[in-house]
Amino acid sequence: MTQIVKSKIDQACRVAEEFTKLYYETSDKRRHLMSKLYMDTGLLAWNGNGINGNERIQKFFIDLPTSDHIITTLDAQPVLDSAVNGQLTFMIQVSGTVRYQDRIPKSFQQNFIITAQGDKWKIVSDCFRLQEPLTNNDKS
Amino acid sequence: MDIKKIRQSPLAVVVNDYSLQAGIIYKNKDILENPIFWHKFIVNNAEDFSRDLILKTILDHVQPMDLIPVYFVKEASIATFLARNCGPAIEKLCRDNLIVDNPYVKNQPFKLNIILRFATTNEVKIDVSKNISKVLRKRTNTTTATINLENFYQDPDLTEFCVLSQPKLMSYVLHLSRLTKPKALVLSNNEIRSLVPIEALWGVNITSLDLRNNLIMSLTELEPLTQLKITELWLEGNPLCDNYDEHTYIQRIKEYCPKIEKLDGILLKQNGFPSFRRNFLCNSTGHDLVDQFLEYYFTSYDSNNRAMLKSLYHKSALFSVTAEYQPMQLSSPNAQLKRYKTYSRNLLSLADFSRTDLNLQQGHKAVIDLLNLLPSTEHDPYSFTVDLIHHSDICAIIVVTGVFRELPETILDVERVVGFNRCFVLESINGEYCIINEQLHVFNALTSQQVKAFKHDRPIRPQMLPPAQTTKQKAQMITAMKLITNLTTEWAKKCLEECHYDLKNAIALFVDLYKVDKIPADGFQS
Repeated sequence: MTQIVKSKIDQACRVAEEFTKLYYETSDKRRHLMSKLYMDTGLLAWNGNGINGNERIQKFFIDLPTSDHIITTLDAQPVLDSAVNGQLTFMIQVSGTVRYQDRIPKSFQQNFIITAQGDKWKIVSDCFRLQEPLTNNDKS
Repeated sequence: MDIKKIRQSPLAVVVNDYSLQAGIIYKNKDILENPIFWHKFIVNNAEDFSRDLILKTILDHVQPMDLIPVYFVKEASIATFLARNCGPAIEKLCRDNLIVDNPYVKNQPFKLNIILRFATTNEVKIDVSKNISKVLRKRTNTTTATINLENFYQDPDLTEFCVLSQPKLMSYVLHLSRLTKPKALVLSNNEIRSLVPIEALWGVNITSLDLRNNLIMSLTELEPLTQLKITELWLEGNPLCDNYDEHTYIQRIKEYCPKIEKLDGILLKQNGFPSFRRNFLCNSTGHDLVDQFLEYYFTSYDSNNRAMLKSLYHKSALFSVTAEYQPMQLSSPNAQLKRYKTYSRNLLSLADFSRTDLNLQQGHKAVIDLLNLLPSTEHDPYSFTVDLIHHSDICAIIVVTGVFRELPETILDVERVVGFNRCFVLESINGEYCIINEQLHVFNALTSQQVKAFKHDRPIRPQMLPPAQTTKQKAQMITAMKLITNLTTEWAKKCLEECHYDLKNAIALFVDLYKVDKIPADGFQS
C-alpha cells in the first residue's frame, strides 16, 4: 500500500478549515463574491437543483433568503491522485445548521470537492442537502 | 337578422381582377379606413370545404393583420362573409391578387372578390357578446375559478367564427371573461402567436395560465404577463421552447413572472426556496452506474458480512467518519452514537493539527476493519437522496443521504433510526469502479426523517442460497463448496459446518483462512 504523505493530509485539513470559514462567511455576508469561490465551470447541487457555472451560482445565492450557517463537524481528505490526474484535490464534508431569514434553524450537510487553481482553492463540485423540508409554518 | 336580405349599397365598390388592375384600392383608401363600412368577401372555389377551414386559411394568410369575419354563408362553391375595420388585411389580399393558396388542394387556390362599402353599421348590426358570454359561462368552473378556453373556436355553441389567434378576438373574449373573475385561465391549442391581448386581463387576479401548444415564437411575447401575478405557467408545445436550455428558460421566465412557482408542471419554488428534488445527476449517462453501485454497496453493507466490500475499496482507499448528536428530536433520548464517535474525525474538535491522521483509515484492510466495528444496519432506500456531482471517464463522485436503522441487540434495547450523509469518490480502473475516498457522517435521525422512515416494504431480496437443512441438502452443498474452492470433502465440510451450512459465509471463511495460510496443502484436491 502506498502511504499518503502525512503532510498532504495536514494540508487537506488546514485548507478545509480555512476554506469552509471563508465559504460560509461569504455566503452569509458577501454573496456578491460567491463566484470567486467556484471554478468557472463549477457545479452546485442545491437540494437536488443543479446549477452550472460560477456566475449562475452567484446569482442563485443572491436569490436565496439571507442565511446564517453554524458548523458542527468538519472532515477532509486528499483525493487519491490517480482519479484526478495528479491535480491536487481535496474532499470536504461539513454538517451544521442554517437559519434562513426568520426561520427556525435547519440541519444540513455539505460536500465539497476543491482543487488548487493558481494560489487559490476553488470548488469543482458542491453538494448541499437540507435534511428537513422548508415549510411556511416554521417561522420562529 | 337574415344576412341574405341585406341589399348591397348603391355606393358599393367591387374589387375584382379587373378593377384591381385599374388601381381601385388606391382610389378608395378612405372607404378602407372608415370603420362604419362593412365589406363583403366572396370566396370562390370553396366547395368541399368547411367554414372553419376556409376562414382559418384566409386569416392565416393575412396574419398578423386584423380580420374578423361575421355572417359566414356558403352556397355551392361560393362562400361569403362580412368584415369591417380591416383595411390592412384587404390591402394585403389585393397585393396577392386576391388569391389565397388552399393548403389542401394544389393549383386550386381560393379566389376572392371583395365588395367595399357593402353596407353600413346602421344596416348590419351584430352583437356576439351574448353568445360568447354564454359559451364562457359554460366553460367556467366556478369552484376553481378556472376558465377553460382550450381549442375555443371549435366550440359548437359559438355562432360566429371566433379564433383566439386573432389578437382582437382574443382581446374581446378576455374582456368578456373578466366578469367571472377567473384565477386560472386555459388558452391551450388556440394557435396563439401574440400575447398582447393578455393586457385585457390586467387587474384581474389571475395566477395560473396555461398556454400549451400554441405558436408563441419568443419569450419576449410574455411581456404582458409582467402585470399579472402568475405563479403557475404552462408553455410546453410552443416553438420558443426549443430555443433555450433548461436553465436559461427558467431564468428568462422568472424575469416576466417573478412569482412563478410551477413551470410546465414542475415545482420551481416552495415558500421562496428552490423546491426539493430527490435526485440530481450531473449527466444522465451516470444513471446506471449510480443505480448499480448503490444497490450493491448498501446490500453488502447491510448484510452480516461487510467483508464482501473489501474488493470494492482501492488498496490505498481513505475512509473517515464524523458523528453529530441532534437535540430535541424524537430520537434524542435514545441516541447512541458512541460507536461512531469513538472513531470520529471532527477537525473542529481537534486541539492541534499534529494528529490529522487520527481516525483516518488508510488502505482497504483498515477500512473494512472499521466498517466491521460499526453497528449492524438496515438502510431505507426510500429515504435516499442521491447526487452525482462529478462524472468523467476515470472518476465519479456520489453523495447519498437518508436513514438507516440499527436493530436492537438485546430485548431491553430500542430500535434506533440514524440519519447519514455518505460521499464516495469512485475511480474507474479498466472499466471497474472502486472506492478511493469515502466520508460518512451520521446523526440520530431528525423527527421529520423518523416519521417517514421505513414506511415502504422493502422488496424481498432472494437469499443466495438458504442454509441447508436435510442430509441431502448438506451433501449437495459440500459438492458445491468443493467445486468453488477446490477443497477436499473434509475441508469443505469443516468450513460449512463452522457456518451452519450457510454457503455464502462458508466461502467468506474459506477466503479468510486461505489468506492467513491456515489451510494445509493436502486440504486441496490434487
